Amino acid sequence: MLTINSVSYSYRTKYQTVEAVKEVSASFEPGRFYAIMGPSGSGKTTLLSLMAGLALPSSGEIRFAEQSTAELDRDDYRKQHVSVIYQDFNLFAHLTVLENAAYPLYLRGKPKHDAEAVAREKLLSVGLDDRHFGRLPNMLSGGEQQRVAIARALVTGCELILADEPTGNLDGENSRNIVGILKTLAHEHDRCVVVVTHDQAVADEADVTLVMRDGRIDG
Amino acid sequence: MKKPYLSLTASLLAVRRRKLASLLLALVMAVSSGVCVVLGGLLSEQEAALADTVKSSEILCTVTDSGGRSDDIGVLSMYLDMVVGKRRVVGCYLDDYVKDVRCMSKEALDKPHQAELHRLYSLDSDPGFGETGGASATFNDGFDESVFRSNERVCLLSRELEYMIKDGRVELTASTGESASFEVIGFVDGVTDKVVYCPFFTEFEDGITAVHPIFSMSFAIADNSRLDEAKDALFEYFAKPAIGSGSDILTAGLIVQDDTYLDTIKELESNLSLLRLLLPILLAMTAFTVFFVGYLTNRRRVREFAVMRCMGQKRSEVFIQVFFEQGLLAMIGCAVGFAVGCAVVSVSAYGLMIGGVAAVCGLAGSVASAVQICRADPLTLMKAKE
Repeated sequence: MLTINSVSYSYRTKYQTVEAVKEVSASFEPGRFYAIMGPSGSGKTTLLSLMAGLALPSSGEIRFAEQSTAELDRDDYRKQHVSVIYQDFNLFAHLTVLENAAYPLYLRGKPKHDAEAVAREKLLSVGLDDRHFGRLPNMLSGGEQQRVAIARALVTGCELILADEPTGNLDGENSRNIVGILKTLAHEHDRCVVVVTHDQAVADEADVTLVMRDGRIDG
Repeated sequence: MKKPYLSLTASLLAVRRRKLASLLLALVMAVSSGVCVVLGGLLSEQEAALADTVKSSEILCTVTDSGGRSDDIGVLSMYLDMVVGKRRVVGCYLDDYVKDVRCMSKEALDKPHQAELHRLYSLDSDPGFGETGGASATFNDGFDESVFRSNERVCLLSRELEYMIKDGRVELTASTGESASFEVIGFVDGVTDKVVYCPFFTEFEDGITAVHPIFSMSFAIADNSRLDEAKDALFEYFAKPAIGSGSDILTAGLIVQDDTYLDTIKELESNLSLLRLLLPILLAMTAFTVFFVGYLTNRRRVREFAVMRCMGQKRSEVFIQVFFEQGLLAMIGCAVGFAVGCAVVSVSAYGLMIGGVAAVCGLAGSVASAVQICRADPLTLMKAKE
């Protein structure tokens, strides 16, 4: 599904050029749950961004469905095939739970009623019920907010779900629940789920764990 | 290539739910456009007042003798010739510059005895007429004041002289001995003296144009917008001593009562200058304020826009989204500002035009703000965690 071939990525800061990813190769398949581990600054989030099509590699290539992301319309690639889940959820503070989950469909021009019907179904599937739908994000716990973020990632039906420290702000029980949902997505809904994490417990649940160190895949 | 897309639902939700920010932006635009409309209206009113002052003010000019008095200036009727365009002066006719000429000459009549002849250019040339004078003329059917400029052998009589009329006419003999017959076209009431009123240029029987010493003479500036030009022409003739040497030496002076007019014009022009100075500053401030408020309120939403980019929104779509939100609020604010502005000052095309320019400036501020905001790099959003 997604193949990374000898990908390197560097960027310039005010004082220096940072080589964030160096000669990384990997392959990701649908129906599997991947974890990318590594210390801070090891390049794992940058690698996730490259996979999301937010930037192009400095060298090497990333291929999705046998096509290089350099050749794709990357905005279209993100819209059609990729959903991203963030550590601090990035929900829209002014929208209700239901509207947050439906937001990607609004952006696609889907009628509000239809978009919210799909969002409602996804919210229920991640364990939130009607009582939560009309609330604003700041009225929810961290675990509930992350469930909303996951529901938002699911409404579009994207095959590739990239999660950047999705349990980073959650306690143990909520972490386990979120990981359980992500595993279910991979195994029962045939999605390719890639999680960047510091948490060994999360990595232990993954089908494949990649460890990054100093911009490279270690081992 | 796909066209940029606008999600109305997302935009309207953002406008509705972010009440304080929306209200602030709309309020800023309402105040800015309202002030612009008011300022434009005031400017329009001041311009209209200036034009009206120039058009309707009567700048009275009085011809005096050399001593500065206007009574019995004792100069020739040539002055009247000048101002009514019969005689060319300093390369032009003075009637280009004057209107409402009032000129009067008095002389004693031998017949009727102890009566006085008032030669008038118009009825109001005689101070006895009008509100203060108390005299009023009644014309016979078929006559009015204009006959004074077209027929030399007509006259108005004071009621006391009615007994002199024979077959609708009256025989007058001037103190110089000349006599002529005049058709009586009406009567004057409210005068205590025996007075005969006839046109200024009336000739008596010898057929020689009479040269009447002018008792009083005044006129108004015809076109106040050409005041300086008129004054130059009038003073060239009246105020310069000894113009036309020899027998045509002139000794009269001219008082132009333009002080109040000039003070009013100066004040109006000063107001206009200030308003004209304020207007571009206000328009620039409108654009900047809308930009700044839009930018500040949206800066807190950078992550939101970055998330939209991560969801596959193109930069152009994010731009349209932000611009639509801001533009919508700016236009709502602008409409409110227009309405309030129009309620405060009278609606003028100029005021509305300035308000329109303010709206364009507000939209320009929205564009600038949207451009700044949609530059947010989604990669930065994700890298911030690392």
